[in-house]
Amino acid sequence: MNSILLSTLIFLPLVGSLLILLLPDSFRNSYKWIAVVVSILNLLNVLAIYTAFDVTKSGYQFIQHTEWIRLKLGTLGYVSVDFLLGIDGMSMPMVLLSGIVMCIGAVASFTIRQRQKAYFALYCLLSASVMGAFISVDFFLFFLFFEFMLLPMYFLIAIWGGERREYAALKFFIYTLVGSVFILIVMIGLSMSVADPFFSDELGAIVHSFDFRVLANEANYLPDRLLHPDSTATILGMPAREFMFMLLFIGFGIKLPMVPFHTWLPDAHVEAPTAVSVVLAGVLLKIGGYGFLRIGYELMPDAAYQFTYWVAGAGVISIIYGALNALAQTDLKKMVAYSSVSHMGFVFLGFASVTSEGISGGIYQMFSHGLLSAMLFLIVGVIYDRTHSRQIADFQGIFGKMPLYTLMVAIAFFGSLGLPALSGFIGEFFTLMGAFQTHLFPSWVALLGALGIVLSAVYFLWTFQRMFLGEFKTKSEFVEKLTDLDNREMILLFSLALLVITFGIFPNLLFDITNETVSYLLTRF
Amino acid sequence: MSAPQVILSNLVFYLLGFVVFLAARKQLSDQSVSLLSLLISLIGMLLSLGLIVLGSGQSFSVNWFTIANHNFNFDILINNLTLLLYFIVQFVGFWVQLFSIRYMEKDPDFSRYFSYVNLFIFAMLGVVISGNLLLLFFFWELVGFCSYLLIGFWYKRPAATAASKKAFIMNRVGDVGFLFGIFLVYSFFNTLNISEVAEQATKLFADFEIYSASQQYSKSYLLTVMGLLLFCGCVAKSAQFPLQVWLPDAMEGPTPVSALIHAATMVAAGIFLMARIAFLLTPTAGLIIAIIGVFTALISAISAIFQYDIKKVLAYSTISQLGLMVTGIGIGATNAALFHLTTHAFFKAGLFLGAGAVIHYLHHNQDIRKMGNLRKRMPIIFWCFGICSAALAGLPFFSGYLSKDALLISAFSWADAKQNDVYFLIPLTAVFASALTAYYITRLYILVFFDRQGSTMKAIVQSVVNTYSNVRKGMKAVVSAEEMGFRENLVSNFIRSIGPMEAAVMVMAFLSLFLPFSLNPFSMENSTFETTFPVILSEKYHWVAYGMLGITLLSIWLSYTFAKEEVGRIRNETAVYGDSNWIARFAQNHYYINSLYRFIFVKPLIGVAEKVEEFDEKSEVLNFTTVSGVSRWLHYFDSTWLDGVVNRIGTLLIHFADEIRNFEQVIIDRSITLISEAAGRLGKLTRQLQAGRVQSYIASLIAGLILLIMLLFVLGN
Repeated sequence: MNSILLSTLIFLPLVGSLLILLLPDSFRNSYKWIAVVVSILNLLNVLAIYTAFDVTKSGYQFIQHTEWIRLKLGTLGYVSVDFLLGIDGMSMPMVLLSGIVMCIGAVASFTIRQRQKAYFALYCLLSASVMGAFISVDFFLFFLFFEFMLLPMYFLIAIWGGERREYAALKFFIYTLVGSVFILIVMIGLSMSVADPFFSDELGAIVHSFDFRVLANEANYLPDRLLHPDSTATILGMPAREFMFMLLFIGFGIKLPMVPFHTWLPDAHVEAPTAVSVVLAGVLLKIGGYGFLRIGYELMPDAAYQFTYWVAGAGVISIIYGALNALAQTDLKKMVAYSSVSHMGFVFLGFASVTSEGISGGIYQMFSHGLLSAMLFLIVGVIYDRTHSRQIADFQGIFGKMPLYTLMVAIAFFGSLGLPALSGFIGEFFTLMGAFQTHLFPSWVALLGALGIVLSAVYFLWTFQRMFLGEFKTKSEFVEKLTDLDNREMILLFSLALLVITFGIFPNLLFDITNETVSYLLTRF
Repeated sequence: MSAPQVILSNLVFYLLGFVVFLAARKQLSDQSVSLLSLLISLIGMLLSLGLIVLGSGQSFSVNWFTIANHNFNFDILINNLTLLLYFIVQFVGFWVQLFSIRYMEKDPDFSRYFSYVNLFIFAMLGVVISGNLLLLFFFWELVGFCSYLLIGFWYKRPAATAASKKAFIMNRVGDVGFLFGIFLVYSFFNTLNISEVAEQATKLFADFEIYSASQQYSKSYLLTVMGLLLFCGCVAKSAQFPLQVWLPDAMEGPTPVSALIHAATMVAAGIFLMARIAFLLTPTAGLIIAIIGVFTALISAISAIFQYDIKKVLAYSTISQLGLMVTGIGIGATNAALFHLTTHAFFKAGLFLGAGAVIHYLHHNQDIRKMGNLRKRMPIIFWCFGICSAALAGLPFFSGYLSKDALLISAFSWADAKQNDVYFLIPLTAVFASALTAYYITRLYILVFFDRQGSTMKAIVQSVVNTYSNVRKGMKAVVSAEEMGFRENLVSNFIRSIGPMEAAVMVMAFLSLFLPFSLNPFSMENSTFETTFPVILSEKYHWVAYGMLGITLLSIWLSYTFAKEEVGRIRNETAVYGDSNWIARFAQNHYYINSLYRFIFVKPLIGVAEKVEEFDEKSEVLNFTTVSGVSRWLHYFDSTWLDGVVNRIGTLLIHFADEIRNFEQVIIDRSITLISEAAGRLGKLTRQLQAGRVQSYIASLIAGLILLIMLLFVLGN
């Protein structure tokens, strides 16, 4: 029974997608409901997994293993790609986050009016591939889902986006694609250097596997292969494994996004419709962080050690650079987009510390940012839906007119700037603590990172002051349009706010899950 | 009930108050909100008394969360310090809320106000009970958040919103230091539990005695840094130099809030924090702290002299008094500092509430040049304000005398022990700051309450005599009243004439007398407070108390003379607005520290500081779209250069593809038509890419790459 849960996460949305495609246009109004029901069922499924999750285990649980492709490569032996699903302390928080955010995104998509059939079919497709990426235990499978995600995402931005949607979508696409090429190289390199001990015995020939568990075990690496831990091979003057790690660093860094590979993000966000922004910031960025941890840190800890300066540096630069850019924005959505860059910087900073506080904090930060950025983009959506303006300067004193909305904005803003009792605090506190504790880089790096929490207070409070406080004032054509939240928006924002508060007060809800896996990961360093 | 249960149920009440008042602000009437809120505080006061009965020295711990093998607990630590502040916060909270009922009456956001106040008391109690630094920081930031909410309570006033933002950001700056102090404690002691840290630190300091300082250099250096980093939190929250500038601005909040948060409780949280971790402070750290404290006390006392806004005078006074407390912490006289914190909490709350009553009476006019003649119009406030002022000035028979002298005597003994006369600069500066205190509060009192014409002193003496006889008559009437009803009537009439504002101020004034603290009006020794928090006052410096008294009296006399002259100047309307004297202007604007910060931080960063911070009352529309400065340049770099490179690569690729297509068409068209068709198809493919049809491209790209890389590996082996 348990083993089906994971594959249901992938196949249920696929079925939903197919259903939407097959239903004739006369059922037009049911498309969105199908997407919502699928998302809710998926969330329930995720919650079932969450409750059944054994926190005392460090390895994968709920494993589902189906042999898929077994390709003979002549003298090279076999290549084996399996449909291998599982979940551990690293992926559980991400799966939980995806379950929540995909639900929110589905309901937020109700504002989509054109081509609903295509939209919701693609949305379900996206949902399936997001889940797939997080629960794959096979590198090849992970990569397939990782790549496949681009397809629905590209169309979601390119068809339902704003004015420059095609440019933004293509930019997003190509950027990520370049990143995936790097990851692809690493994938093939790693796989070609290992032999699955079990299947190799069985078939009497070397079986190259993509199984993360096989790739993580140094004993499985074939001697004198390129990526053997003791390999002396160099690529472009760098040790081969470090070179591969660098590829991962850039590949996932683009997705995260880290400065200077972040310029796709503001464009994609500004052009994407609200619900797509929610999913993009809420879930898709996390695949960068998750993948880097899962593949970079778990499979190549030795190289990760060598790169800690780079990773920490990228984190800190992203934090400060993103925050300063956010400060300069006049468009609310762009401000939120740059704040994402800044907040995701904490994730890399935490990972680079290679301490339990830093890595757990980084995972927590990803989770918390998922909730908060979803909230922030919904908030932008609320005002954009009403006025078709996102300019900060167009509004003043909204509090007087829309008190409930302002309350939600306050929770999202203060959560993002790291107020205790809201989830953002825990992530930032522990990533910084990890960065301070570590002996891998000097503690002033952490101090620079902390500059980010001052700057985030500056830009969030400044924006809050300008848009929401003061005497109510706006363009005359907006006055009538600015009405307080309707029920749907209320449910979305309120449930997210509740989660933000819950995870701000009870960090054990996630730390209990991640502890064993992170501790085990650290033993590999 | 055990102590933790008492505390938790108490906290739950406040939290409920916050949620209910905010959620049901439309349903609940103002009256029910105020009654409920007072009830919550009343219960809280009773519970805190119960807690005192249960006694100190209790701790309670439950696992909050775990990271790897590190437990982060929800620790409650109850010691005398906790009990003291736990009571003060709720006691002052109760009276301030009573005062607020009248002060905030008719405010459309009455319920929201009480909701915030409840959240504040909740958070402040959280700070006080926290037994570990993470939990303390947790509530610490929440307290700052409440302060943000309450300073900006009248959110339609631009100055209020700017002040609240400033307060939050400046506190953030200090909190970053505090945060790293916590990290350092954690990496040093491997725990954040205050009791455990104390245990280890005591051992560590014992080692200090054994080894010479040079051997332990790195450790003592780290400890000094640790102490100073933690002190950063105090610098921000207790408004010490260089982060003190938020507090005068915070006066934009409702006046009762200033009394509760920005005088009695929240700003004292910094002192509380330092008292909690006093065992961590090395002598070097202590010296630096003392210097900062005494410097702050001096500069803000000077600024207070030149203010024309009644609340600004009190704000600078608060900074100055906090500076004295910080000095006390720095020199190791923690208990003396705590004693001053306690007395200050009451008399400063009394002063602020009195000021609030005045402001309320004058319909929100805060300019002391336009006040005066209030003695007869608000007699109760006049007398109570006088008592609190006397306590602040440090006159005998009032609480301030006891605590200030304890601080000063300790400071002199500390300097004495240092064997270097330079150290006497600190107590001497403190003495000077105290003398200035007496000066500015006398000036304020005269400008606000005294008659602008005629001799007020004579009138006061006369009125004292009159009041005495009136009271005697009144008492006679009460005693001789034959019917109970009449007697009750008299009492209730008196109470009715008092009103909630006067009642609150009277209570604070009563607590500014010596009696609640010590039976001996001239010394705090052997008082209840002293037995709980022992203060060692060296016999050698007892003369300081009398010397200080002399200086204070002299200062009051000087102030009286100059203030009368100032009253005359104001009456003649000469030099009323804007001082010609540059020294006065310099001090009045608090040495232009604000402008300096704006110039070196805000302006380079966003470049619009002046427009946002200095709101022009007349111009209604704010022009804040013109962001410039570093952030703007960075964004220019980001959008034009960084993104430009990406776009350029994109265009180059497309050009390249076009060139290839042309090349192939030209070359191959001439040779074989068959292949030229294929080339045409390739061209179409590239065009498809430009048109955005990428799915086929991605498939072929991946397939191609996989093949290519596999080929490479095959060849490589």
